[in-house]
Amino acid sequence: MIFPKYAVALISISFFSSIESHIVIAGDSNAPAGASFSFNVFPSAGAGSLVFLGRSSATDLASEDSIRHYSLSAFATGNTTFLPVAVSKVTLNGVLDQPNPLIGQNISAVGIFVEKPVVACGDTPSDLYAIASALGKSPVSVNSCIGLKDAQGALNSDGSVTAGIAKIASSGGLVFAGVKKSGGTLGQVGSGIAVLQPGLTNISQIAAVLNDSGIKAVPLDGTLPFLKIGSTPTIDGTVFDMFWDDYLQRLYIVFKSTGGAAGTDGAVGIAMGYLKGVSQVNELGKVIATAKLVISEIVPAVLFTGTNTIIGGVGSSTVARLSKVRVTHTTTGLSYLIVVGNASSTNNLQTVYALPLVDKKLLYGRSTAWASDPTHGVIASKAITAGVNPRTFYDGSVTPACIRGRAFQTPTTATNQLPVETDQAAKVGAGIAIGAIQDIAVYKDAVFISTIAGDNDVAGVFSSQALFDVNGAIKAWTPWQRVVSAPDSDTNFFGIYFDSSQDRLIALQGASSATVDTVFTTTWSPGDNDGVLGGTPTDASAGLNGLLQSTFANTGGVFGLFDFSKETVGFSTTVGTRTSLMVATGYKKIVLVQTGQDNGDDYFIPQIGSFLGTDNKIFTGGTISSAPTSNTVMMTMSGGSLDTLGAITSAGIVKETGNGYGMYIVAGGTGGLAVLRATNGNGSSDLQKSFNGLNNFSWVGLGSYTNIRKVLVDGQNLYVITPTTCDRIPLAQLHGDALTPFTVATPAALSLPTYGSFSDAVISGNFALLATSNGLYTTGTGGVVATATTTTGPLWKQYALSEGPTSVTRLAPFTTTGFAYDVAKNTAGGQIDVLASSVSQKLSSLYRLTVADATGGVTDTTVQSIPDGIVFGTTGPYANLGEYKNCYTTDGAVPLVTRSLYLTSAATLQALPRELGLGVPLTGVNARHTVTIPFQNAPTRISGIVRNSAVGSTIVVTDNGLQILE
Amino acid sequence: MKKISIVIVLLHSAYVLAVPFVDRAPFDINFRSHIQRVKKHELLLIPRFAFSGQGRDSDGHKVNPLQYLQATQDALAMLKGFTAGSIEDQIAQEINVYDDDGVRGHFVIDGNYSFDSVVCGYSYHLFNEWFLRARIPFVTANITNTTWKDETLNTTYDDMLTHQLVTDQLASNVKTWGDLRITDWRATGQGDLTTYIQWERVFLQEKAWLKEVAVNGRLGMCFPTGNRKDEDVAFSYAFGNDGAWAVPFGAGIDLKFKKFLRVGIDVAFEHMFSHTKNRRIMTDPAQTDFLFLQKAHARKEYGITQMFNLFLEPQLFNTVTVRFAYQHTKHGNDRLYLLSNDFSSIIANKSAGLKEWTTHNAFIQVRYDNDGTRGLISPIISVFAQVPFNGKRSLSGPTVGFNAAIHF
Repeated sequence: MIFPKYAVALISISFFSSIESHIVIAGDSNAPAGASFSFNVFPSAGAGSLVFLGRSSATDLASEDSIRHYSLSAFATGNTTFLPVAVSKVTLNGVLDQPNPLIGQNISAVGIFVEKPVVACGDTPSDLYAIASALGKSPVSVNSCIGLKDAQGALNSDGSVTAGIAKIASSGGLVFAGVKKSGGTLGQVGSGIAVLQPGLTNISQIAAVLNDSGIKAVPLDGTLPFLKIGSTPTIDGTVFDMFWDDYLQRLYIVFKSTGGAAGTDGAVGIAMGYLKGVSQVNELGKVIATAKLVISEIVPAVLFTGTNTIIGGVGSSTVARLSKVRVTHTTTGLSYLIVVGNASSTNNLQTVYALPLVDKKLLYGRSTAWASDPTHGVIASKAITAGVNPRTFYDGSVTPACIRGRAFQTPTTATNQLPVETDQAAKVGAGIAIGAIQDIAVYKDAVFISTIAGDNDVAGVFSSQALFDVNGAIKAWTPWQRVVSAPDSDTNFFGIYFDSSQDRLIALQGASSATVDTVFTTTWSPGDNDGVLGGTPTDASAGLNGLLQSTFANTGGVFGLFDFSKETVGFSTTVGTRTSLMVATGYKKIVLVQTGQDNGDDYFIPQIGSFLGTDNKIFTGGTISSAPTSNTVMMTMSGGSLDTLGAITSAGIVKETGNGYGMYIVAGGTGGLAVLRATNGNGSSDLQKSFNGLNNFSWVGLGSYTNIRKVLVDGQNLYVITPTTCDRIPLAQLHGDALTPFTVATPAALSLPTYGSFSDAVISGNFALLATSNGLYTTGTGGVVATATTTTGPLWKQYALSEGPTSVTRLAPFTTTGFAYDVAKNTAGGQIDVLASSVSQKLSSLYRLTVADATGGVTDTTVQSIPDGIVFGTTGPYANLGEYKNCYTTDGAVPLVTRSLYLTSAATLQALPRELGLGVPLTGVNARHTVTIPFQNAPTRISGIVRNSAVGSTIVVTDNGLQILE
Repeated sequence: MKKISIVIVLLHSAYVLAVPFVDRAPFDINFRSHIQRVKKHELLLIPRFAFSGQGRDSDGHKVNPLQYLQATQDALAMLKGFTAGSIEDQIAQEINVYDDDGVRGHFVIDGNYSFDSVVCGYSYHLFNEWFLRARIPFVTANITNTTWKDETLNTTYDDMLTHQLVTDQLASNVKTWGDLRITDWRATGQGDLTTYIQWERVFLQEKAWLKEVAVNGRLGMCFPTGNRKDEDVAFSYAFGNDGAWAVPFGAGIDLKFKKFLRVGIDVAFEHMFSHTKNRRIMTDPAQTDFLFLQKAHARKEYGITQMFNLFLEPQLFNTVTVRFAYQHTKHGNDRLYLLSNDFSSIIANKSAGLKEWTTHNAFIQVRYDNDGTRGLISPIISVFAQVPFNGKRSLSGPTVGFNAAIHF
């Protein structure tokens, strides 16, 4: 058999191949350079660490078997090659050595049943095939169910053979197939959801309709009462998706439904299915237990009154178009339905929404009656009632009572309880995606989407992270952040899968959905020769990583790397002139890197591959003495006032608008503060691509600072944080020769102990949060930071954190705009994750705080803890991290923490365990599931984690180069 | 019956425990008298002078005397392991680095070590083969010309803060934060008084070559009379067992061939009783032994000390011999038991100063011994030199001295 050889090859490669970034996963041997396959692929399904991929090109009857074997391929994350699954000979329905019906076939649908693929073929669309043998086992076993039945037919009689299988999903024991009406389409009366039971040597459709012994699908069409508002809607099965949630044990089905023309007509784009166990007499006269699929309402149709209610609406010719559906279970213990699309026909290809789901598993305790409770799994009321909806459940049999979980309990019973499009809590990505969404993946607090190119932005994979309120419910989402970027406007992304173990993505790439031939995976590495930040395929030294390493060689490496997205205030927003920057700082030296710019077609293109612009600049006098050009990618600056800055730790970009002074780049270090400005003191007009606007600018030292730890901006002020002071500097002062800063906090004013110090801060308008060596301090009720002139203005008060180190070292703000200074703005406010680490005690804990909008004034409830913890009555840390950690970040899916070299213990980059969540202590087995991501170039010091907004790479900054996830 | 003569040498390891630079002269087999039974009393004086003091690190490499426990002293690690809000905690937090790049906060310390001693002893012949002996050393020790070379770079933010907050004024800082003095140290004083009973006997042999078999055994008590370690001085050490009582015991055998050669072997042990006092303790495993800022009431349980001697002694004339000896000393791990819950005993016991140490020495001695047969007063005079050639976690150095004893 050939199959085992491939399996051996796959296993060998997984153990011995070196890991590189952004790896194109190798498929068949005829694939052109840079592609995975010599044919097109697209139908796919993924679960855990496995992805299965089907051939979308027409059936291949001519190629060598070795090529045709790849018509169904498997990929296990961590590998670099596909495993061909459609081998020549298989055990078919228990009969040995049979021709494989899948070899060379066009695959029309792929699903996964217990880590094995279930597929339908384009040429035989009514048949379903299931691989029954484990991946890598020989011989391969294929079971088939020929001629799935649709939902037609009289009571207790079988349905007709379907015209095709549109979508496949599965529970732990059953396979669900969306089947078209015989001779018709999905969504027509007669179409529905077929249920199949896989066995060792067979897979067979079962009688899934309640009180009907006929083998047929469960009807899904516009006549179902809970999908019908007024006249019968038309369901378009070409927009269709199914998702089975193992935790809730619910099947969610979305589609496009178009309501009638009357103003009172409407449409609902979603239904819910659940399994109901029944006893029935089989043909042998024996009573057997079997499962029936019940498709029911997810929200009462009568509650829809307009078109802004996302999953359904009322109005003339309402189109509820939901193309993708998933369920995510947040780290706060709540379940949310994630859907792509809406019922308003507004940007419905580019919008993602989150809707709370009722979860009654905890309420029922040990009883399994929740499984058939029709209110379990439905849309929950968005009205939050503390302690009721959502409700936290405890195990009272132990003292103190341990948290069992948290769940929404109240189904939606009124229109005003329905999430609407404008709800910040529902609006994943805090707005629309840049292009039409092609696929979606969810994990914990994160949603990932793949898109095709937009009007002015290239395609990519993006993520958004949930922001939580004091009850643990989602209150808003971060804006879409790029995770992967297309190199040009012709490249698009389709299927995506998320590997939670190392925060990696697998993406299907092609010009169109019909021409996907490339699959790649992001990977942690220095990126050498990866064509992204690691240089060109032949010259790693030309990459961002290589150039920064050489620029800062012998001076301790890069100390700080700061990203400024194209949305940065102070950058041009005019399409055609946009730019984005990264600023790298080191010892008496700063490098400005253009990470993206608009091209001639007005597409914003990330800088990838070579950063060796033919006109890269090096200025040693602290002045940009020759004009950068369109060939300038990097500007390296030293000398002048930078010499006095010593170790440069921080950089910021501000725009002064009161006097029209413009945009300034500010840097702080051990020796002071400097600003990049024109000789007349002005800043730049909004910065355009190719550094246009910075010619003849010089670094000018201001003030008499030492040991600047961080500089912050809030739109009105520049804040300078040193260990012993927090100063507010009105932006207009950057224009002058001297500073008259306002000191708004000192350790003494906060009554910190002797040698007490500041380590970090987040400032947003009136609100501020100060991380100190002796705890967390926040603006008190009525306090104001933005205009404070003394240390009393903010009315500082300590914010107590329990069960962790007293010292707070890092604050990680997450906002609806992506800018830290908005954490207490924009109605929903934001979230601040707090890393409390004690050097002396060698302990580290992670807390999460929710911050309310404080534009109307800071109150007692402006900052509150997100209800993490493990026991009743104590809001504890989100995670106890064990030994000291120095950096932290998260994308909502995988929290990453780092620690520098410590004695003989190497510097580490760790992904926290998948178990991390409400009520789960990171001890014992859970702690051991922490994934250590290896460094290829072992560093001594890790100084930060930053995401390149232009290309989406996550970058760990070390003294030995960059470790990059891309 | 063979005629038996007895020689007893009892190891006194008080210095051994407190000062790895060992002066075992009074109780060393190499300074014994052969047969003095005809006299009732013995007065003994052993001046000894050390020069070129050097250390042996944990790998046995020869290092500066102040680097025998660690190559560098870590001034950042010294801030670890303290309670939240303490000065040490707050300073550590301000620098906010947990990493150890091998240079930031590290000091290479150099210095000279000198050690001189004189042992005074008295022996009384009780009866038959039994003797009572007492010994007390007087010591002067100096650690001088100490320099603390700051290895911290001037590159990163952490470097700068480390300089400003800690290393640029290390001596005054550790004095302020931990009442610890890290400068030169000089001290003079007595060691612990040791008394012991010894039994010794010589069995005469009528073999062609073997003429005598001498065996000995001894058991005693060490009184904690010596200068104790000044816990507030980093380089200070005790001239005895630092307040602990001890029981030394041992045995040996040597053989005399014809009239011109002796060979012998001797083993000696010392059991020290645990002792409680305020001690400097390690509060973090990364800390180095000369920069412990924390003191705590702690009981110290000592490892046993073992000393092994092998010698070969040709007799040049009737009263003059030359001895070549090999001497190995090993002291087992000590343990601390903290008498509070404020700090971790587990961490405290990771201190290198509590770990096993060893020495290896070559010894040569030229001795005049009239064997107690001439006149009322019988002198023994010897000159000797001792050269260390291996060891770990110990201070060592060539020493010279002489031994003068009279028997009457």
